Amino acid sequence: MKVPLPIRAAILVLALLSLFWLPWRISLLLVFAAGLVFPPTALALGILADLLYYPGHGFPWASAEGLAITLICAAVRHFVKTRIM
Amino acid sequence: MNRQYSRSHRFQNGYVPGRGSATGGIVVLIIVVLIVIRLIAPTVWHTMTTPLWRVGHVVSIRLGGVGESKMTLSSERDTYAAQVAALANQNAALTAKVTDLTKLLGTRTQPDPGIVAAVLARPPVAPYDVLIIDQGTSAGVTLGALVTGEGGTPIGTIGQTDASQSRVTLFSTRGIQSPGWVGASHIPVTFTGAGAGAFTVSVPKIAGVQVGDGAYLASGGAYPVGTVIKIEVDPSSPNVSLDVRPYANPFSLAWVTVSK
Repeated sequence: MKVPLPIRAAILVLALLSLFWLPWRISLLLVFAAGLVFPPTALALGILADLLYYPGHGFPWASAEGLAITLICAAVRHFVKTRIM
Repeated sequence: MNRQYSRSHRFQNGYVPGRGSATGGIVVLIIVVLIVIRLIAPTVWHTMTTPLWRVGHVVSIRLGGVGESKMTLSSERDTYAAQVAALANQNAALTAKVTDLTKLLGTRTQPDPGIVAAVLARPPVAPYDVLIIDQGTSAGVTLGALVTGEGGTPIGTIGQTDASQSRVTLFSTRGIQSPGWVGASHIPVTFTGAGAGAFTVSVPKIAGVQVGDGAYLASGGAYPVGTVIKIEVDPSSPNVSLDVRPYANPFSLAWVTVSK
């Protein structure tokens, strides 16, 4: 599947802005999409979400989810890359 | 034909590293810079993030109106007009009662003036049950201070604060327990946060709590926070579980007051 560069860039920027603008469930989907474009983005966005909203107690779920999405996206990319080669 | 797949050909695929990764690298770099700014220069961070949240609030309000027909809006307006009239009457009655009580008790019942703060971010944008408000220690906000919504309904306490922003941990945060009372006879209970402004409460069946009874948080007085909307009965348990709908909806809070 060929995804044009402007769309990939738009996904990354939208994922970043969604932390400020969109409900967190939609942000989660966008972070996943951004992770497919470039996996470390998901972890970075997760840490950023915790810096923005972490209440100071409890488990930092956003960072953990970012890490999980990064690993999943890296695995997906590796699988797809292996299949098309 | 023996077709050769060159490296440049593979780079055209969306899932294969290429220019997308370079863009991703730039975005990650930007995020890392943001994280560093947040950690070493919180004031700069607040200057950067506050406009973004404000724009987001405006966008969500605009998007919220998309798709609503004129008939729906007209119907809602009529409903709200009726509610405003009813509340105005109730407010007049309560004001008269407060005046009487103030005559009896003096000004002891007058609450201290608080710090009014705008809500920059709220659920569902915030993934945790927190509010981000635009006042901090420079305005007199202190850690643990009580935060109230419209009408003086308590909604949470200050969980984190710095010079110009604070985070409010809502009483309704999942798992947080707060003491209070339910019903006209003030049956002591413990409210457990259920997320998104709601609470669950467990009380003995014999307490006789009914749907519509008031719920009050104990926070330097009995503050009404909501009403019982559902009673779940488990035949095998001596207790019933109450669902409390809050008066203050955290999804639509625009202003809050932080007590000094």
